[in-house]
Amino acid sequence: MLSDSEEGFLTKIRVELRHEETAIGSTWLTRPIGSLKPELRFEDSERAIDYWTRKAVQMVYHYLLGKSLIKKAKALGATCQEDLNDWIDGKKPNIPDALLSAPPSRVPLPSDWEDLAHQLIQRLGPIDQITIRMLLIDGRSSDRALSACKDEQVNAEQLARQEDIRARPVPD
Amino acid sequence: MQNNWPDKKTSERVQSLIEGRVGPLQPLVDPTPLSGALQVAVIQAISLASDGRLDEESITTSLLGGMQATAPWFADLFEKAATPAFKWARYSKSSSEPTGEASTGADFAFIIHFSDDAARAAIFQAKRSKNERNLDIHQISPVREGKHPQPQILRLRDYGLSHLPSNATLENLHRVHYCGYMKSSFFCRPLSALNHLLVEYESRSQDIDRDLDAYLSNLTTNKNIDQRMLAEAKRLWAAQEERVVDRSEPIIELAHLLALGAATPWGTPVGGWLTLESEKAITAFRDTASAVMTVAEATAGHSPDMVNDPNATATSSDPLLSVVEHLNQRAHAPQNSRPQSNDVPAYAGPSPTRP
Repeated sequence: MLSDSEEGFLTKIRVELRHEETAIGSTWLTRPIGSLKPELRFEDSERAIDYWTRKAVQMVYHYLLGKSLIKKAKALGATCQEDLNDWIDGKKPNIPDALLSAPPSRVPLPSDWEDLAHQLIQRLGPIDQITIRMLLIDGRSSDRALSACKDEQVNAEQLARQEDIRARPVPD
Repeated sequence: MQNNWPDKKTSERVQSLIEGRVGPLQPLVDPTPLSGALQVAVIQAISLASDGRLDEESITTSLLGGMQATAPWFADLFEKAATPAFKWARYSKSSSEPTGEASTGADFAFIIHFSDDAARAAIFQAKRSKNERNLDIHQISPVREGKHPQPQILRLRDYGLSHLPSNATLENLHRVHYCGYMKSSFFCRPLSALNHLLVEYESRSQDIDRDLDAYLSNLTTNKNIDQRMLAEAKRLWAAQEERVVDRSEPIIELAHLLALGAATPWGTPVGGWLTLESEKAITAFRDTASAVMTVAEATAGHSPDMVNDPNATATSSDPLLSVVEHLNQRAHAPQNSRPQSNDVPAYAGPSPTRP
């Protein structure tokens, strides 16, 4: 039977796991909620949990690596950024050479990776249908949203400063 | 295992043995008999391959054969015959069994034993370089174990991850190496340093697998199905054909990697190596690896005593000296250019549980 932490993990990543006794023996069937793919079979629950853990970890890792690539491309200039966007959008088959020759990204797995996996699945759908391209597009959107938010903040601060200047008494 | 291993006297003697065989090699760490033997074997293999006429399989064979020949030569000069011992298991790469290089992407593995329940291990995919700048790594592996034909680098990644706990990522693949055979150097670049390239391959793989599914369902006959799938996969992957692994940082010379693995005292983390901390973990690694690739095993040894003078008087030829000179330069490369030990827990056995 599953432990509380195992059940909690499966709930977070929205995966069902059920036990079935058949004439030929016991089996564990599993599939993400809402997935259109066939159920997967495992000999024991441990292997099933291991399978989904690996899937979720790789998903989070690829998401964070994608964000790191976006950041690096930005630092390498407009051309690199444009080329990376073309790759993310499927217009080009390769990531920019400048990124390949750049030092590798260090992407440690955060301690709250299960929560991050949960958020990604909520936004993007069943875990077995999330592709790297979807993760990259999501990462790019959040990066743009963050930039827009920062720009908005900068604009608001500038506006406030200008109003402040205007409000100052004019010296005689 | 003793904390003062290797002692000064042993290291000095090993150093003189190395010098006698290949020339004045600067030690990266205090050498032990095993690290000395392995470095000599690597240097001699580089020298042998320096004329560029051997293919990668012949170089690997001469490398492992050289280790097998050199380790006993060093061991004979120390009292305890078990130090450094060397043995290897062989697997035929041409086998069409579901396991093998085609399914794992790996060529050979190396295990260094420190005791019955302590060992370090690393996995290698050898590539013969056509130039001194980079390695052409693009290769499509055939249909295996229900998998479509796919790039070798992805199979190497999957095999590397399968030996680690389920929360491991590419970051932890610093013990799975592309080993580049160049004229003057055998260098290793860990998969952890290729994460940009791997994400490109993985992303393409998701699209191409769908295309291969469609291709397969449209086939009207099963005749030569595997070969046709392979040909189609090669066509679909053509955009990646120019992909190479640069000989750029972080890299580590094979001789240095082996020396660090063999001579760094147990308990000190060493980048580029998987730590196996139980007899069960060692057996599991050996059993799974030896079923699919050549596995070389050596014993690191425990503070042996010298028994006689080596009288090592072998003269070094020019290729050997140039290799030694290159390794000496690499020994001064920045520390951060070497693979870093990582934070993933040691491999505990074949069925890792969720953290």
